[in-house]
Formats: sequence, structure tokens, C-alpha cells
Amino acid sequence: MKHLREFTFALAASTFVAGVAVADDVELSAIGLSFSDGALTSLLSDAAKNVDGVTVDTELLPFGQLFSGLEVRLQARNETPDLYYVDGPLTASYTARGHLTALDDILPNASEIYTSAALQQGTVDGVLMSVPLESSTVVMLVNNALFEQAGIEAPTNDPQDRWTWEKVADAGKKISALGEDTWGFNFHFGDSPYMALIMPQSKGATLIGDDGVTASGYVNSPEFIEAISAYSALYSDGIAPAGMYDYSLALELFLNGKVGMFAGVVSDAVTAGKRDGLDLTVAPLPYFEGGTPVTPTGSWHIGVNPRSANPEKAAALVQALAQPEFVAAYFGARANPPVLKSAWESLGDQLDGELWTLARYEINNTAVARPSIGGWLEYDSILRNALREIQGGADVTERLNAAAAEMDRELLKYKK
Amino acid sequence: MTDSPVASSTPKSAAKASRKRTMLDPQRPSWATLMMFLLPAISLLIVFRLAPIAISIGGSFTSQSLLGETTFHGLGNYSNLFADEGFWNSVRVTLLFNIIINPLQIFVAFIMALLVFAPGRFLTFFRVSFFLPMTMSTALVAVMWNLLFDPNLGLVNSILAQTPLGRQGFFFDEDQALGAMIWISTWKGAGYYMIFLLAGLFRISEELYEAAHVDGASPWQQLRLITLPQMKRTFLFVFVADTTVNLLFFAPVYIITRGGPNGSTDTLMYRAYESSFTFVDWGRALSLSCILLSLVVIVACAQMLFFKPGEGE
Repeated sequence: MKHLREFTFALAASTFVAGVAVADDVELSAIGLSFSDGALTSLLSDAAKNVDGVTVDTELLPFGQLFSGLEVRLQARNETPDLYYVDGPLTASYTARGHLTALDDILPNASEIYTSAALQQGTVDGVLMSVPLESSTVVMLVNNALFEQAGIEAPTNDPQDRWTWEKVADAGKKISALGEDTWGFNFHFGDSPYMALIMPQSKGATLIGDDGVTASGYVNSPEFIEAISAYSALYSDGIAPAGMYDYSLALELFLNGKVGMFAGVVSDAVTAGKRDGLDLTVAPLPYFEGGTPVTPTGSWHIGVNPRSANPEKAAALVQALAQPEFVAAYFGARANPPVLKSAWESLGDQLDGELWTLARYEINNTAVARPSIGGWLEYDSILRNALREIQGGADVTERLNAAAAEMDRELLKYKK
Repeated sequence: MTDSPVASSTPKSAAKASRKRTMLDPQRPSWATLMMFLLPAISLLIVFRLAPIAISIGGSFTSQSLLGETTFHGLGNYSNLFADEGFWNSVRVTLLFNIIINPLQIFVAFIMALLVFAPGRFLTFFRVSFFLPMTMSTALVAVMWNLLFDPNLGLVNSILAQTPLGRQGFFFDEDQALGAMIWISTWKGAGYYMIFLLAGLFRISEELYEAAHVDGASPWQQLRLITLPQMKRTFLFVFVADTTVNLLFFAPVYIITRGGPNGSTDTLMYRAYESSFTFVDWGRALSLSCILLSLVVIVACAQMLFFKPGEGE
């Protein structure tokens, strides 16, 4: 009985102490992207274990709802979320609207540890506003079996042997002719400027004026129109499936052998490499004959809400996210190009092979980031709608003229 | 002295007892009783309806800087809207959508109500089947029909491909997108309104039909001269509720078409959403909301006048 009393007392005391310890912990709220079965929740929670007195409550949103969900929360201008996911090109937009804290003091050595392309996306007017977590590059996945069936020689992995869009269209038509449910080419994100903009860029088009707010004359320039006409022809000629805005379905079609060439991010290539029965080549993205090879690049970042009630704790967590251990764990959940320079060495054995050799080549030689402008959210949204309608058969010139006029109107508020 | 404790307590306790009686008397409830029951509902109405409306009206005369500072903008938001072709397209789309969907949805709901009103076999099965789509969330319905109508892999197009009609664009076709929206909204909503109309049908006295039957009235005459006039109150409620919901039609547009193709599904509600959460223009979004609110009020008042029940209805 005596032991029981002592045990009960000890239990109560330890519960009280534990309770006090938990009560002292600060719970930071974070909003992030949902991927790999919600892997981000455990990644952030594990990172928080390295920061004294911090736990993280992570809210995950799918890609399609992330930006609008963030807008709703950020425009409330209150102390939550403490941290949130930032798509690289939106850093300038969030900064202009007072939604990001400057992080230079938190990571003074950022320029030494991060790859320059990723760091550039998180920097506005020379100030680090969001910290990169992962970067991206796009490759062309090739289904060799479909090429064999169509009697065409498939593209190779060699960047010097890069196909042109004209060649892709020719081969695509032959592959599409194999069956009603077979397509020659598809983009993973068919309506996304992230992928489609490489076409005008390859033609030498400039995406926006130097002032960052003038779209007319750029989005409807002859080069832009010519390139988007080629994009339109991919759909009107039946080479690519029009209206496929369900990105997981687009990837699944390729994995199931229904698409000959597929423009996908590196993690798509990793997924495809694990699919049984898929005879795969990872080739470089095409370019226009007489134009320049261009590949899209971008990066996902994390930013700190300037109204956070716990800015020091949030800053400490951001520092933990810059550690090689976190980047390695992140890479394990989603195999996209790492943003820490050191990770390219420490993850060396995982970054070998055709895929990563090509990815590294593209990042170093052909990658072009989207413009860092305050109105990227508006630019992206308007162009996305235009691309959808162009896929549906809208006149390219008319639609781009309308998009340019709409952009001019919506970007005006960012004029300095 | 007459103010002994007993003498002074008598009128007080009598008044107290009288108050208590009044409070408990259902025929003569006191203000306190009324407020006790009404206050929770009124408070919620103020917090979730009237206050947001007041904020919206006030906000529609302001503009916000990028950093969230609000300044008075007068009628600037409204004049900008009225000068915008896209706004007038949204007005046209919203009105066209409502002109078609409201009568259609109620007609379908009424036919369904008549079908499940008459006694017959499997009655419960049909009633549940008609009501079932209403139990699904709007988002789920939008995703489901988007998959079914998918131009490449959708089930509907796989079937149509085997017919002379061939594949159709549906949400992807400028001429069909609004029709496809009307279809999914009717598929989901008609069962809901059927329940109200069914309740209205049950309310009609059986004796009226018996008398009409004795007088030799045909089923058509019974429908025209008894059922429809007796259903006027129910129709009024259903029309107002249906129109209000459909004027605020949003989720399927957001999920499936984002206002396209070429503005063919760009409803006012979607435009208000886009203005606030994509284009970060709160003033414009609130002006659109106020215009939408005015539209709802005008249409609801017009319907109430048009469907005003007459004597004995």
C-alpha cells in the first residue's frame, strides 16, 4: 500500500513536471504543401526537435489550394501562420504586401550555403525574404516502347543531342496515331506558366517589361505568340491531351504507358524509374530550332510571418531547416534538386546516374527562373487562364492580347 | 405604522407572482421571455449576416494599399466596375444562368415530387434516390462530374464516342460549359427542392381532390386548378431560396472552369472571389459582393410580388 502511494505520488509529480514542460513549449503554426502522403508534417516536427521549446502544428494544403488558402490567411494580417510555404516567384509579391520577415540576420551565411538560383528566388532587392527548401528542374521522360511501336528513334539523354519542338511535334503525331487513348506528348502541369513559358523563352521572348508591371508588348510580342501557337498546335493536332488539369492524372497517364514524351520534374523521373515495365529514357527538354535551350527552374521556400507572436522561435526553426540533416530528410521524401551546396556532395551516391547528371547540367546551363515581380500571382493566374483557353482552341493572338491588357490593369498597383 | 414586514411584502410578492405568471403564460409572454428565446438567433444573425453585410457595404467605398492601409475611395470601385467589359460579361452570365436554371430546377423538382407523391411500389427507394445527390458536397459533385465529362478519359465521352454525336467538350467548350454547369447544379439541387414541394403537396386537403373527382375533373384539370394554386406559397419559398443559392453559384466554377472558357462561366461570385484572393483588390471584391446582394434582394422582392398568394390560397 505504501509503495502504491509512493508510486501514485511519483506519477502525479512526473505528470505535473511533464505538463509544465509541455506548457512551456511554443507551438508554431505552419502552412505547407501536401506531398508524399503528408511528409512535410513529420519533417517539420522532426526539425523542431532540434529547437528548444518549439513544436509545430502543420496545416497541409494541396497544390491547387495552396495559394488561395494562403491569401485568405495572410490577408487577415494576424499572427498566424508563423511560417508558411512560399513558391519562389511569389517572394516578391508577399514582400511587397508586407507578409514576409527579412531573414538576413537569421542566416547571414546564406550566400555561402545555398545554390545561387534558389537563393535568388528568395531574395528581394538584395534582402533574403524566404529560405529555400528544394529546387526544381524539368526533364523530358521518354517511353521507349511507344517510340518502338511507332517506328521512331527515341531521344537520348545527351544534352548535345537535344530535340527541337518541331521534332517533338512530328514524333508526337506518329505516337498519337497509335491509338485513341495514346498521346505523343504531355506536360505534367499543362496549364501552368512554370512549364509553358519555356516555349516563348526558347524563342527569345521577354516575359515582362523592365518595370515589372508592363505586359503589353511582351506577353503578346511576335515571339511569344509564335511560341504559344506551337503550344496550341500540340493540343489542336491531338499530340497532347487538352484539358488535363488534374496533375496526378497527367503523371499517371505517362506511368501507364499512354504518353510518349512527358515534361516532368525530377521527382516524376524518380517515380517513373520505379515503375515496373516502363522502358524509360530521361532526355533534355526540347527547344525551338534556331532558338535557345531553356529549362524552367523554381524553388519552394519557407517564410516567416512578420506578425508572428513568436518571431524568435520561428527564426530558430528556420535555422534548423537550413541544416544538411533536414535537407537530406526532405530529399528522402521528395527527390528534387537540393538547395544546399553541401547536399550535392553529401547526397552524392543518391545524385549519381543519368537523371541527376542531366538535372545538374540543366540547372547549371539552361535553367531560367520566372521573373521576380510583385504581381507574379496575378501574372501567373491570368496566363494560366489564357493557356487553358488556348488548349481549348481559342485564337492565340486574341487571347494573349486580352491577357496582356488584363495583366497591365492588375499589375498597375505594383508600380513603384 | 403600516409598513410591517408582512404588510409591505404582500404587494411585492403579488407583483412578483404576477410577473412570474406572465413570464410562464404562453398566451401573454413578457419581453424578457421573448428576448430570451430570440436573442441567440438575433445575435448570430447580426454576427454572421448583418455585420458582414454592413462591412461589405462600407468596404466597397474604400481601397486598400498593398500593405493593407485602407482609404476612402468614394464610388471609384463602382465606376471602375461599370467601365469594365468583363464585369458586364459576368452580369450577363449570372443572369443567363439564373434565368435558365431556376425554372428548370424547380420544374424538375416538381416532377420528381409528383412522381414520389403518388403511392406505389419502391416509393421510399425513389424518394431516397432523388434526394441522395443533395447529401454530397458541392465540391465532390463538381470533381465527379468533371471526371465524367473529361474530354479525354471521361465516361460520358467514351460512350458518346460510339454514337454519331461523337466526343463533346462540355466544360471545355465555350458553348457548352454553362449548360454543363446547369446540369450538375440541377442534378445536385433538384432533390433538395423536391422535399419542400413534396411537403407542399402533402399539405393540400384530400377533400379538394375528392370533390374534383366527383365533378369529373381530369388529372390535368386537378393539377392546374387545385395543385398549382394550392402550391403557391411553397413555390414562393422554393423560388426565392433557389434563386438566392444560384445567384451565389461559385464552387463548381472555381473547381472546374475558373470562369472560362472565354468567360462563359465567369459568374459574379467567382469574379468577386478572384478579385479578392487572386488580384488582391478588396474594394473591387466588396463592390461586386454588394452588387450581387442588391441583385438577390431585387429578384427576391420581384418573386414575392409575382407569387404573392391570393385569398384562400
